[in-house]
Amino acid sequence: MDEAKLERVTDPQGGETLKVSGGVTICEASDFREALLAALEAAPEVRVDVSGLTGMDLTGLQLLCSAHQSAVRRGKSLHIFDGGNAIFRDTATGAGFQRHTGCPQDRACSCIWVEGER
Amino acid sequence: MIDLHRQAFKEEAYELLSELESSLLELEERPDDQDLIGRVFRAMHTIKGSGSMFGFDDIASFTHEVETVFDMVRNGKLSVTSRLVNLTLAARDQIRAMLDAADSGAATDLQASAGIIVGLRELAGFVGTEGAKEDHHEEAAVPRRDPVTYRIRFAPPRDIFVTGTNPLNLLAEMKELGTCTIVAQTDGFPPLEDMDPEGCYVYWDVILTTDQGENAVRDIFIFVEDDCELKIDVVAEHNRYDEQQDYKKLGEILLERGDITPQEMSTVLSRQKRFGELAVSEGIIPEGKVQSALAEQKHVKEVRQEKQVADASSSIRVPADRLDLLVNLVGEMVTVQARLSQTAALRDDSELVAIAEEVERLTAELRDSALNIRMLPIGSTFSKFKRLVRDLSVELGKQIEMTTEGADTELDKTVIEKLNDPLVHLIRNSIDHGIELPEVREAAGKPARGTVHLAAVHSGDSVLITIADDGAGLDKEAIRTKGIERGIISASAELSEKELFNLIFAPGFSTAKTVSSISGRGVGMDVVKRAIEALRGSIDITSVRGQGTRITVKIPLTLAIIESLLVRIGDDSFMMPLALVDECVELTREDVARSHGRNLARVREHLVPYIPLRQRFAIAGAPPDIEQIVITQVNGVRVGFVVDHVLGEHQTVIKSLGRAYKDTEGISGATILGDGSVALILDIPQLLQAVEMEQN
Amino acid sequence: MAKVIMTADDSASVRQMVTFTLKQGGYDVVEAVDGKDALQKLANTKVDMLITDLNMPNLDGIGLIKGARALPTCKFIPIVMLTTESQDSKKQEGKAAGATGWIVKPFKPEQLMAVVKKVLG
Repeated sequence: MDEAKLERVTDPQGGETLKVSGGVTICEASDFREALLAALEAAPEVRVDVSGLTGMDLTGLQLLCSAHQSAVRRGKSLHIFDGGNAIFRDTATGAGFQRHTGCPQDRACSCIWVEGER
Repeated sequence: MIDLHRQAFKEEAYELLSELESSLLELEERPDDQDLIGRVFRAMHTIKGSGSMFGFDDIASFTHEVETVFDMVRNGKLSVTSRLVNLTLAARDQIRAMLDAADSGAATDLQASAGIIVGLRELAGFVGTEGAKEDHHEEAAVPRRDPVTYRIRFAPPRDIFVTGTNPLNLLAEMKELGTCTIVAQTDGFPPLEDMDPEGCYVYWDVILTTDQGENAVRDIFIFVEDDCELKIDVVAEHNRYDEQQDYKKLGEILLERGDITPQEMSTVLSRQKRFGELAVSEGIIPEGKVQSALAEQKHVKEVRQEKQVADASSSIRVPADRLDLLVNLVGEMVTVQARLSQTAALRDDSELVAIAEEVERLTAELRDSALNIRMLPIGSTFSKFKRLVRDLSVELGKQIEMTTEGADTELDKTVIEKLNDPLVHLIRNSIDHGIELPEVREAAGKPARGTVHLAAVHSGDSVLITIADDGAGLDKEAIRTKGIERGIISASAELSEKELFNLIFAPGFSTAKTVSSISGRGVGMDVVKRAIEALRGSIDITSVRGQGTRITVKIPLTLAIIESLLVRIGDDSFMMPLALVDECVELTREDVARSHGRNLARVREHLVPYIPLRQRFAIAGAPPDIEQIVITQVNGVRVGFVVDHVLGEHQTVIKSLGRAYKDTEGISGATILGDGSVALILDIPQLLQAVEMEQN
Repeated sequence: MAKVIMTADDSASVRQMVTFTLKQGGYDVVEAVDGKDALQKLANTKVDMLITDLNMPNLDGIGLIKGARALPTCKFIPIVMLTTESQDSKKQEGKAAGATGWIVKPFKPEQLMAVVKKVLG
């Protein structure tokens, strides 16, 4: 698997994008969590760009989901942009993360796994 | 390959055995040396383990006994004595002998083995002979079962990742077992800052429909089942009988799973809203649980639908010769039934007649369904032709598209097989002679790409197969010229269009300017015609110059049984395939006299030539005053056959003639009549051809 | 890139069979003759999976599993142990040490491949 890369980009409007690429597995899970936390800390609106992912394991999916839950709790928002990345979609589907409505924390219907909103 | 591994094992074992020998001798000197004891144990362990892997089962089970004793020594339960060393040395020699024997195939001294084992067991303090425990549970062949839907809740331990297990692999394995709906439950997730990035928080509800049985499902979790929460419940068994009612309601599912209590359920049910929405909005249950219950409903519904489709198309494979046997038996039955009907009619016994009629009806149904079993769609043959067309058009530099229609038309399996070659030839002909080169086509205002259309359609008890091309069409003048050239027709012959076209089926006729590798040397079309006629079929051509040619092949549905007309000449019975018969008319002595020996009968102002069969078959005796002409139509030409009497229609089970009579002119087979006598089946096209040849 | 599997076994014939089977299955194989040899090689080679015998001289399978799990590169890889039926307690010991699963001897090449596929995905 390709080496994982985590890049934070702040756009002029103050939006925060965390670009995750390469293979993100349990070995990178700790770094991934720190990056997500830092991004959530920095801006009210966080976009996680997973379009360049070449692999993600369960720990990555868990962290994304937890990050979203945390964002909602803090009154912030977190979106996933996958750019049609088939690897990411297949992994999420295979792990049973895709669904029709969000979790109970998801009052704003922003669940990252709900179909058609990516 | 396995021999290579066996050889490697033997070499290794010999090495271990010689090492074992020196270890044992050293051990006798220093009986307390743990390192030595360990070495002996490991040697035995390796010989046992590897031996059983490479098929040395006798060595493995024998060595097991020694290993067991040394395991006790290793654990301090037994001390090393000279008796133990002696026995072990003897065991070592025995293993060596067994290894040698494995090569030469010589029998090993079982007595010696048994003696050593008894000695070791005595030493170890085992009483009696504890039989080698049965390690291998025989894996019985898994019988095919009805699919069952399981509800699986799988909650891995938090630290599952540090044991090298990837739960996603387990989910993937479940998918391989059958139809699978996976819902990840995320309700136990802590906030991001409290989450251990290397821990597992998610758990799953999986709805799996599989016919592999529960053990196959459990096997997936074999490495983790001790550490994780695993619940496998059967939620639906998909056999034929339980599919009627609707699947469980959402509330029932949640209740079954223990996600909701009965009290909570009745609270929710007391409002008239959708259960799922309510249960969540009341805060009774997390959304994820409802999601997963909904997924279960959906899953079961989908599986049931699939199952219905599968049931509808389920089939069994049967060897073709069993079907042939069945058809033969049905044939015999039809014959016997005919006799029964005939006898019943003669006896004038109304009760017997009623039974005979019942048998007749049943036999007809039985015959139809038996013949039906052998029916196959012609489509597989069609798809083979697609390839043929593609390859040929490339070879000839033509652009040709093949279209098909009626690929699901069914025909008797044998007929389909025998049709293959004639059809290949006809298609080749269309491509070679029919479709023009792209430039020629464009010049003629036609699309550059030509079409060959292959169609099959049912028509009564026959199937019509058409090969139509939009090519150049037949050149009547060229055919006429060639016909005259070849001496097939006389220069002055007046031929209808149909007769002219039929010339191309005459032996030795070819209109292609050059002989190509495809349509051969002009021996093709007559062979095609013979092959079709051998199937009791007929072939017909229509063609419009510049627009294309259409060849229609008419083939009976089955070869085994035909409807035919039973006729008599003198004491002999004959069968004429009913498909070829147009009508029957009387032929009186006066009629014969009027035609002045020209064998022509006037039927509704048309002259029909006839063949007196009595004469042709040289049957002795005088014909009756009034004979019958059975008028047949072959390739659009009406020809009569004169017989003494027409007895009526008959279900004819065709029996092929023995080798000696196989080539008898004008006879294609025989059948057995109700009274047990034999009737010959006339090969009308062949008879006509023979007569024509004689006349020319 | 083919995944790398290490086989640690003091029996040359078992090693040969395991190696042959895995290579047939498209994996690269690193062989080790005992636990000590295996740990030394693991320190220098990155492997995707470890298949180890339990009874080995110098360092046995349990010791190897514990040692491997302590290496950062082997913390999460699947480790499968080869056991015999009589070693049920060993199975538990191995799991406690961090083994992912086990294969019971004697086994056929297909069974080996099935387990490799199961844990490696």
